[in-house]
Amino acid sequence: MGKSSKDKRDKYYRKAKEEGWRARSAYKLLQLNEEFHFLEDFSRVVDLCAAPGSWSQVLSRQTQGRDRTIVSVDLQPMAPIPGVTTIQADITHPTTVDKILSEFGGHQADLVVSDGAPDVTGLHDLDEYVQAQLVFSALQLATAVLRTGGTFIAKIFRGRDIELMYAQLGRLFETVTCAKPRSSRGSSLEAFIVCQNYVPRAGWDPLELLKAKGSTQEYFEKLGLKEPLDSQLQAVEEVRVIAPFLACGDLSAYDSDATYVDTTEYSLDPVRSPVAPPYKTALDLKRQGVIRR
Amino acid sequence: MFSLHKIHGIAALGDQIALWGAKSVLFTTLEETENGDIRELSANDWVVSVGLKLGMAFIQTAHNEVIEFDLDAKRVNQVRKCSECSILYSGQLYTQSNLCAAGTVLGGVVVWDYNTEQVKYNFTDHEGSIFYVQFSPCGKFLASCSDDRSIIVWDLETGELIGRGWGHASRIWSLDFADNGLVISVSEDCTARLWQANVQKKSLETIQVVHGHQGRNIWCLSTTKFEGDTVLVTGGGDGRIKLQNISQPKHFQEWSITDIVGQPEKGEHLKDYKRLEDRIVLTTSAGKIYTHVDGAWSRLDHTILDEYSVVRLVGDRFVVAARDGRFVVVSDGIYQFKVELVGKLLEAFPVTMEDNKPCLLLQTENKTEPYRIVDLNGETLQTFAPIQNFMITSALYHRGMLFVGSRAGGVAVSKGNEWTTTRRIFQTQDTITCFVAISERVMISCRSGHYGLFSPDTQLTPFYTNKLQRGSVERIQIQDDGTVLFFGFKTDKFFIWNSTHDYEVASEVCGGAHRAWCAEVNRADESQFELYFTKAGKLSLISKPGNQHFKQSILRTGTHGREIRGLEFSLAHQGLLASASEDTCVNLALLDKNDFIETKLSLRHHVSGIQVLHWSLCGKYLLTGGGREELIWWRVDVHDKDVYAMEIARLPTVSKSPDLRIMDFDLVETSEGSWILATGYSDSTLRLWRFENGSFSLLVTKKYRECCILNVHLIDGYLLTSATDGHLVLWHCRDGNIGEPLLRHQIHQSGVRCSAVQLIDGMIHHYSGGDDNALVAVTVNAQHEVTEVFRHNDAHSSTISSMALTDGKLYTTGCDQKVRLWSLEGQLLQSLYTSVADTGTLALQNDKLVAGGMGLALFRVE
Repeated sequence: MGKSSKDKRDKYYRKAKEEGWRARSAYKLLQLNEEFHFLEDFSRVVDLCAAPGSWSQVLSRQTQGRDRTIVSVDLQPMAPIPGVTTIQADITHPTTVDKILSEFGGHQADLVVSDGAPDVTGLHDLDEYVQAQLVFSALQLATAVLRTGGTFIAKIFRGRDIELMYAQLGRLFETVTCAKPRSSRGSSLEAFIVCQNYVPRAGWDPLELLKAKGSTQEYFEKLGLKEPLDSQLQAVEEVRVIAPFLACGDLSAYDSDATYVDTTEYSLDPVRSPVAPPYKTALDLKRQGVIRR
Repeated sequence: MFSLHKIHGIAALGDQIALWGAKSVLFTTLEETENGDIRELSANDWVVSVGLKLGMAFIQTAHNEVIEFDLDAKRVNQVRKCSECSILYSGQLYTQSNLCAAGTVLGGVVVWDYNTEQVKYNFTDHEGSIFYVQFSPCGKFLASCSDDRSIIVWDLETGELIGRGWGHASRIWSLDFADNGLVISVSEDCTARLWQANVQKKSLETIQVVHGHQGRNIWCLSTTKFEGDTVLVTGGGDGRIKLQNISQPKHFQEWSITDIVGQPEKGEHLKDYKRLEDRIVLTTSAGKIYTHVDGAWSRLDHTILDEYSVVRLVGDRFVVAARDGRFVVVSDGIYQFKVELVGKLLEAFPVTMEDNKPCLLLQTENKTEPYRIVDLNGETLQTFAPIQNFMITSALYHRGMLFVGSRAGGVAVSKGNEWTTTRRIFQTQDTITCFVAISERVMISCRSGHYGLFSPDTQLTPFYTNKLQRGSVERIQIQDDGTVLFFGFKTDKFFIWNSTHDYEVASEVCGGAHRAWCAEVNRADESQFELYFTKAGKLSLISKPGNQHFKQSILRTGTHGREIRGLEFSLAHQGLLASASEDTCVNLALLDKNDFIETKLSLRHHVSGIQVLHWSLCGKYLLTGGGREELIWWRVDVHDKDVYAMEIARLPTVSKSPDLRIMDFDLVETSEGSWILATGYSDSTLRLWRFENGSFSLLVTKKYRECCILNVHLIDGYLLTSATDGHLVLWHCRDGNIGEPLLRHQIHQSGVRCSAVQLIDGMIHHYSGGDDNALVAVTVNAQHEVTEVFRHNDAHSSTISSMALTDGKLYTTGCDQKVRLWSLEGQLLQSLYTSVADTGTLALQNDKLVAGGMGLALFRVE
């Protein structure tokens, strides 16, 4: 979060800075918890695609004084958070699972969360596909670390193929709900899939499968969640299911689509400087006048 | 071609064509396509690229696998993979040497051999997702671009970086190699760039920037060779397909005063010049006239005029006018005439009188001296009383009337000898630069960038006015096909703007507006031009030979550059469709008999994204509203196949917040002929306005909780609203006042994205679609009691974003890209799929249903 006029535009943006959250998305997890109460009793949690770390902050603050282990994983470096172990690693890599499990002393996790999002291009079908792959990468890891009955929460884009994902998740979890916190703008496709009561696939050892290497695609094929490629490239039958929708957060909570009258006189410094974007060099060159339209 | 998916790529080898998009692929030939003989196949994963080789196809998937498919046996032979299996944003195959390039989401470019499954290179110089990779035609080089906004060209023989280029203001989406060794890129910044490698500096340098699309994003490109020239084809987010000849060599030339006159007198400098066909006529400050023919300058006439002599093109002749009333006429021969003037000549404007007679309108420094029109023999044909404090800057004689424009933005018309009162026709005091007669209208332009179409009479009734954001409009030129071109300046550049299709034809650095200049643009080919201008005392020429190969540079016109938010058919004109978009444009289009939606007019008065649009019931007026509290009232006319629109009024802004948006509004006409308008805002306020005699007056402001109002309906003396809090609220709304809420009833879990109402036997029927996937129908009776008629919690699998109610049927659409038809009892009658993403608006007229989002889709309904 930067020091910008967005303070005036979005109530949650300002509030996050006031309350010391690294990103406004902290409120999304808090509001999801108001309905699903997953923060009330857990011992071990994994936060995937965690940078800049606002969800880890929530996990840490909400469970202070309790005996719990929080492990955050991201490819990007992340500033330390008290009570959170951060691992800089690729979530699809088999060794990452080992690292997480060793942090848990060989025990399994109660909760796996992921707020990861791709670089959105504006080509909706591509963006939704890449987001879905990110969810499947997180799910792949979750299937290997989650205990029976555990919970998996991930950011999704509610686009045209979301029913396929609901159907696939429904084969690993007893309950699948599409939840939208009030702090997530109604005008955006963003929502969160809350999957409760993990039921591991009978007869499969996810850890063994992971070590066999190969893509996420192959992993879920072996798990029986995805159909393999047809030798004549015939389309395979795809099961579509609509997950029930649940709006999260009190109706009296701030509305992320509304314009609020600005009463703030000054802007606040960000809690953490934002992660440097890949196009930082391009911005610098533009500032120096090297790049001109 | 595909049942659900969009086409993301095309490859061709000989007759064989491969198309792919999402998980689908198909292999066909042009002949088969015409016979409708196509078969959609599935790669069971996102297809990044397809390569063809005799009888074989290689399908590269987003998991970096290559499926080897035998086109004759129609069987998969093998699936190849390498050690890198990160998700790909981009990829390409070079089948001649079995190479595969993979652009990963994590910044790596992996080049591997799909026969041996060995990784050849893993280039890691980029940061961020790799959006495109492209092999050179010879296979020796690879170009890549990423989220870091740079382009790199790699040497595939050595693995070295040959050059890296920076220059795009946003992300780069696609790349190609042109056969002349250039790399071409297209970007989110809506430009294409041509790059040349500088091997010493290991850089890529921009040699040309190409414009031609609207809004955001040029997504794709291709080049082709045509009679020795390279033609660039680009496709944009605006749906437009644009051609550009990028081989046109630009020609520069420069002449100093010595080059022109030989031995200049002390202090002698260039004054004015014009070009016609292959000849230039030029005056100097010494009062001498020169001409340039066949590459050589020569003194034209031994007459010495004065220091301020100007050159004008009158019909097919040059006329040099001096301040003392002497005129030199140059055509095949040369002659002089003199007009006896009281004051010194200020300006001479070419005008065409009846019988196409070329003449001049003269204004002198003497404020009481009449303006006069003289023919090219010096005979005065007509005089006009001078107008007080009016410095003429442009003139037109049309249908027996003289139209003049002034330096201070005033326009006057004379029929006979009487002037109409001078008035400003644009909201500016800037110079009126040009008048042009176009069929039944007069087009007028202004240095401020304003332009418009007016009735060709003393009333000058406006039909349409607009403002060019690009810069000033100095001259208007009508092409042979009716296309309107503007010539103007912006900072240090001269530009040619195609106003009919909204794109820049050319832009050349000349130093800015304050200088002598003249431009000749071919009326059959806008890209062929000569621009003359004075720079540092020299006469400079920039010329381009034109594209020569295609008449029209736009292959397909397209729609909006960003998401369409409002869409509605006029009730007055069959097939007249208005659309409003996040790109801030309001478009007016006509549906032709083949159901092709042809954009007739693009209005750019909004400065912020537009959220909503409605026609008045009479179909004469259009209202558009959106960001920054903007709401514009337009009058729309259709004459033959032409559409005109005029901004009539603008809603006053109330708040200081630049983020305040008008989310919805409703309009009713009163029995007294005035209008009542209700507006709903993103800060939870509701306002009621009266519109009368072209202006708005605020009647009442009401604040509803703290949320974002999404829907507003005026019906039967009530105001019905719904918002992001999921509630339906009914307000008394009579005598210009909004009462307290009569009821507040929750109908959705969260945002009510769309709603429709109708009154049946005194009962309000309300239909709504929400963020929560639900479609709900309720009735409100006279006692203000709500009864639920039906509720479908899973009416769509995502947000229901729009609905249209008509003739006892209800159409809905949502973010799941489905279009559904329901009976008013809640029965699902039909479900269709649209490839338009971010579907957010529906319009219906007779049997035609149009869905808008990222583009438009038209359905015929039964």
